[in-house]
Amino acid sequence: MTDALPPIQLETSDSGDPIVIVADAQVDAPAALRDAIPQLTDPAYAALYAQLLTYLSEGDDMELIVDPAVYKAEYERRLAAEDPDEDVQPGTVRLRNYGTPDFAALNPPAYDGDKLVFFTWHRFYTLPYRAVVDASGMPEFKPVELN
Amino acid sequence: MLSLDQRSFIETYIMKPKAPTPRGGTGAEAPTAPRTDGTTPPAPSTSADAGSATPPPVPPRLPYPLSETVQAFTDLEKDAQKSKLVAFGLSDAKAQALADDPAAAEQAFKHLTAIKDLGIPAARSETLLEMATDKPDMFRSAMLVLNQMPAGSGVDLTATGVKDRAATLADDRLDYLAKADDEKLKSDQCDEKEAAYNAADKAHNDMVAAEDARMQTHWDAYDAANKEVQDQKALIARIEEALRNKDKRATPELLAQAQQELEQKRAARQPLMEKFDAEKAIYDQRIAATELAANNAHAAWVTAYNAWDGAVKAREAAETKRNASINAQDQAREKLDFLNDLSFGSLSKGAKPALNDAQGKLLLDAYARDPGLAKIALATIKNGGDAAAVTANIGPVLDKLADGFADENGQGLPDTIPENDRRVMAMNVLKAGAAGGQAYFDGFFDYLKSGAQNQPDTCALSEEDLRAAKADPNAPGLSDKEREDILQHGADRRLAAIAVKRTAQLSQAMIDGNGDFALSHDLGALKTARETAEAKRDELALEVQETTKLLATMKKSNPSMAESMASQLDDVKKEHERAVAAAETAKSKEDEAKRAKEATSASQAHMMYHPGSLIDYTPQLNKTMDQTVKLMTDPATSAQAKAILDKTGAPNPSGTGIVADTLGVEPGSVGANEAKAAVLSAMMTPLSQGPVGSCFSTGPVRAMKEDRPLEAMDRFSEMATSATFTPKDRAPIPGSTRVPPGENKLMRAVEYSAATAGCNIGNTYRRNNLTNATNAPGALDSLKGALGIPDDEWIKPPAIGPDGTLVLDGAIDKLKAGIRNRLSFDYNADIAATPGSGDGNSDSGGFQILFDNATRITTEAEFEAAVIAICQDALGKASGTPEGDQVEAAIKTGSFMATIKAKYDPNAPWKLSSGGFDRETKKAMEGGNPVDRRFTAARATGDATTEGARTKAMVTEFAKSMQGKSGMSALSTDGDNCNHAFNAITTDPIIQGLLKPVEGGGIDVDQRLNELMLTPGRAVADEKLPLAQAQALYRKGVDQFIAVRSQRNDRGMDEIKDLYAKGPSTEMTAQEVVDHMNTELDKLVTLGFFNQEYMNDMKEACAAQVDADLMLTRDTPEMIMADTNWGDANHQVYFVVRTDPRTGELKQYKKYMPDGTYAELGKNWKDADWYRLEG
Repeated sequence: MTDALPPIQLETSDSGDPIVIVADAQVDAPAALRDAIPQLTDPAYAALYAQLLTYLSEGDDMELIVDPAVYKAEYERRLAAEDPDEDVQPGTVRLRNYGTPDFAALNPPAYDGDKLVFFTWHRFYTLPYRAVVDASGMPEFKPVELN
Repeated sequence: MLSLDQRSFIETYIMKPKAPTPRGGTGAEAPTAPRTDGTTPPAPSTSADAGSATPPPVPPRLPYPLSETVQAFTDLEKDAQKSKLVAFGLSDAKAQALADDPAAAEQAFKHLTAIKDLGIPAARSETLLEMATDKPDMFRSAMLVLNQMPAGSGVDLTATGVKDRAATLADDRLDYLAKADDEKLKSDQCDEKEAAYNAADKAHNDMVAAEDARMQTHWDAYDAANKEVQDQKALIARIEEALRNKDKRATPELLAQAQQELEQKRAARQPLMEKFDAEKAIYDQRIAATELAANNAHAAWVTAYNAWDGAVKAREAAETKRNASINAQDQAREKLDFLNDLSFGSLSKGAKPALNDAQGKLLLDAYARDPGLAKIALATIKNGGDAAAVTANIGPVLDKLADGFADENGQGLPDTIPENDRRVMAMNVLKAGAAGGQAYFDGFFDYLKSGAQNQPDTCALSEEDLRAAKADPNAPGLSDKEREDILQHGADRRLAAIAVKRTAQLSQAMIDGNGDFALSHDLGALKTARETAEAKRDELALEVQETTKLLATMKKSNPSMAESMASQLDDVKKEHERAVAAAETAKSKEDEAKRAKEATSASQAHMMYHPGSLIDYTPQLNKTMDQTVKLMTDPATSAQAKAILDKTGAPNPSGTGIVADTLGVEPGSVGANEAKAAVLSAMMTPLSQGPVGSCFSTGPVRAMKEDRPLEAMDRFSEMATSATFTPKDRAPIPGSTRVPPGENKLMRAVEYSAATAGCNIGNTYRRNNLTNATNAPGALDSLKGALGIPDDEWIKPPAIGPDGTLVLDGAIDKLKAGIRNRLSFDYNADIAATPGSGDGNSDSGGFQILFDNATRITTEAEFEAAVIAICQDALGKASGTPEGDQVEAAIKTGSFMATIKAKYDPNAPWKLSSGGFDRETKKAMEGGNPVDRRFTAARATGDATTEGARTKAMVTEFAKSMQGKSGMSALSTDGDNCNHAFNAITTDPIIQGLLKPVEGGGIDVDQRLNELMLTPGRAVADEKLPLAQAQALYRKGVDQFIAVRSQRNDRGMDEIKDLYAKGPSTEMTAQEVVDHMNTELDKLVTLGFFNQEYMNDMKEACAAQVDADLMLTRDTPEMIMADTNWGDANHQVYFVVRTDPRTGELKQYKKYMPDGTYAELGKNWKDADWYRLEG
């Protein structure tokens, strides 16, 4: 597959914003990705497309969930590391301050009709997001409902 | 039986004056006014005299005109009158004016005599006399109050009297302390003697036991020997008997042998008997000695006990005497304070606001019944309350207090509500009425009539509620730490939990069964709609009926037409059915609206008037409840507010939990209506800083709730339904659903989510620094060189991995990923970063880096070790191996650490910048790029700028920075124990005034500051206080010193007690009073009783007492500068700048509302860096 793709690199601009270098061109907007790499709309590249969209939209704040089991393990590791008796404090993120995600509902990037749907997790919150990419090529990230 | 003085007083001020008897009309004697000298003037001539036939005698001729003689006599009489008036304490001018007006003088003498009889110092006479003229009803009531207070020498209010009383109290206190010490000494001595007796008694008992044991041995030896003697005697007797009976076994030889043996045994027994007797003598001697010692010890104990008992009685007598002195002092102070209020305080002519005659009378009549509550009422008026309503209703409120807040059937409150709580109720009714006016009082009395006050408090906290709120220190199973925490914070949590209950009840009442806001309903319109629908229904019913009849006829007369008519009838019937349904719907809507409105009104009345609501008074909560109702009903906002409520739907699972906890209902019962109610509940809850330091989020969220309530409502709606919070221009974040116990969950969930959103921005910024440092060219190149990693291994072209994502597999990428993934940033609210708040209300937290989400990095060494471990793992070079050591050496000697330090300068990854994230939270909520702009720098070391000058400069810069701002505007302070984020109040009239263009155009804050605050403030400070007021102020100050010193038997006690008599002797400014006081205090240093350093502290403490009094009694301009975020359902604290009524300089205070009390702002705050947040 890589032969079919131009060289891709994840970089940051001088101002610190995430950018994607495609061959020699610089892409700094999610919607411009498809023009720069038309192959991305192929369902075979769903994971790559989701990864690049996540990076361009959220930088290092979010990470793509490719394997929900890996994410679940990380979530549980962090939850276990928390002190259950710690008082709640504004600004301090603890997983027990939130509901619990339905891990079974998390899936690898895939197309639902003509919409790319994928899941990410937020590095600061360690909580999952669901992203839907509409026709404009812009992903919309929403927190996954917690129980 | 009344005393003569009491009768006289009652006749003068309580009984109505008799109507004058008509001259000669009824034959009664004409009235003769008593003269002030006690003589009675001759009866005036009557008309009968005028008609007498006998001409009057011709007066003798005088050597000068009669008019001059009359004038001379008149002048002499006036002089005499004036002297007498002056003797009553009137000024020359006043006395002269009265002497020139005999009728007025006559009345004045009557009043002055009564005033004097009440033991009121002559210096106060003139003020009271003025009141008698200007406000006669109020004066009459004042005299009644004074008459109730102790008079005579017991409450001598002269300077000498005050001094003597203070001296007596000081002596009595010292005597009591001495007696208490003596009691302690005697008690200790008694204990010692008791212990000594117990020891002696024990020694005696031990001795008896030991001696008994010893004597037993001797006895046993003797007893055994004696037994042998007795046995031998018995043997001899048997032998003798046998011999007498001629028994051959008995022989004289045998008898002789037995007798010989008897003698031997007797001989053996003898020394034992002698030994026993000798030892018994020793025994008796020893026992007698210890018994004597025990008896002596007992006698000593009894003596000591009697001495202690005497000391107890002496202490009790001294305590009684001291308490009597304290009581006398309290009574005198009460009377003096009342006189001060009448003369120059809140009841005086110059008070702001001044009561009119009728209001004054009503208040003072209440004062006579209950001084404590009357003072509360007066304070509410002073604080801007509705004087007319408060004075008109304090009497009826006292009536209700007296009858137990009975309903119209006379049923009072149950005995479970103690007297003290009932007084609290009355007090809070007055406070609430002061704010709410006559309508509040009307509502209160109607509520009492209804008997609703005797219904249970539906918002009362159960034991379970208290425990859930961590507010019950007696809950079982608490650790010491938990109990201590509850003792410290329990009262605040309890109040918050009460607010949760009240808002939950009211908000649920406000949402009707159709999901509409109950108070928005127009019952008139609903009635019209229902009537219209019913009319339509009835009209169609008639039409159906008539058409049916017609059809029956038609069927016979015109079958073909009938068919068409039958079809028409079907249509009408269908329309009628729809009309029936519409009428039912309209009726149902109207009924539900009525029910919901009634329920809401009942709930509102409960919040305002129920004993539970009045005992746990929550005026700030009531205020936010009113604001919410206004938001929902004001035409300017109601449509938008309704739209937000309408879109608030059934919550998702997380939202359900938030809503259920907010309302205290089961999750299973939560639907859209509950979500709407929860939104209203959050809106109605005062948003202050709460039980944890969170000012960085409270400030921006509070500003939103106050200034942009619809936005706040929208955010509550989002949180209630989807448990998310959407930062401005960013993706929504999950709502933080865990909040401290007892809090409004929905409100805090939004606030805490805003906090985490702000922290996330702060996190991104800090993490980007780490990423940028890692990405910096050459930052990690030392590893490449040290390990000899080839170029094509160091950097590899990106490839698509098995999972379909881009994989960066070069060594440098693995290093970067390791650092990115294993070092995370965590906001730790507990770390003492830059010094935290001194009052527990400021932020202290900050970010820390976590290694593998577990280990906090707080030193450079820890950071370096973490990076080494990450790099070793990323490159597969285990620690302890030669290559692992190479990695360690490369990090330690390479440029990575230096690059990191440069990126974070002046901070570092192991010591990140700290404090709250008000900027970031504001950015999360409002977008933009807020930046802190300092408008006042912290006081530099050695900076000798006066406080007044610094405050003036601060206010000037503050005002300038508020140009173009509206509503609340974010501020912050940074300094020692004062890191805080809060909001300026730009709507304050003084701030508005400072920014008003001056003549000729332009903003001149300095000029405006002079006009609005400094000039009028200085005028107050420069005003000479009348002598009595100056003396009263002086006494307030020295009271502080004397109270401290009279607890000790000081050298110089006489001089200390004498301070009272050394007060001002002429009118003075407040500053001059303090100067005078300081001079007198310094004399005690000169006399060698105290050192100067101690006295300087005491002078400050005394001046603080003077200032506290001035703050309440002298009106100076005040600017409410900022809302601190500190508060609860009961009160709110503000930063204010006020012109100091003593110095005329600007000064900063904390002001507590709604009570209107002040506390001077701490020096750390005054000398801090002050910032405004822009952008």
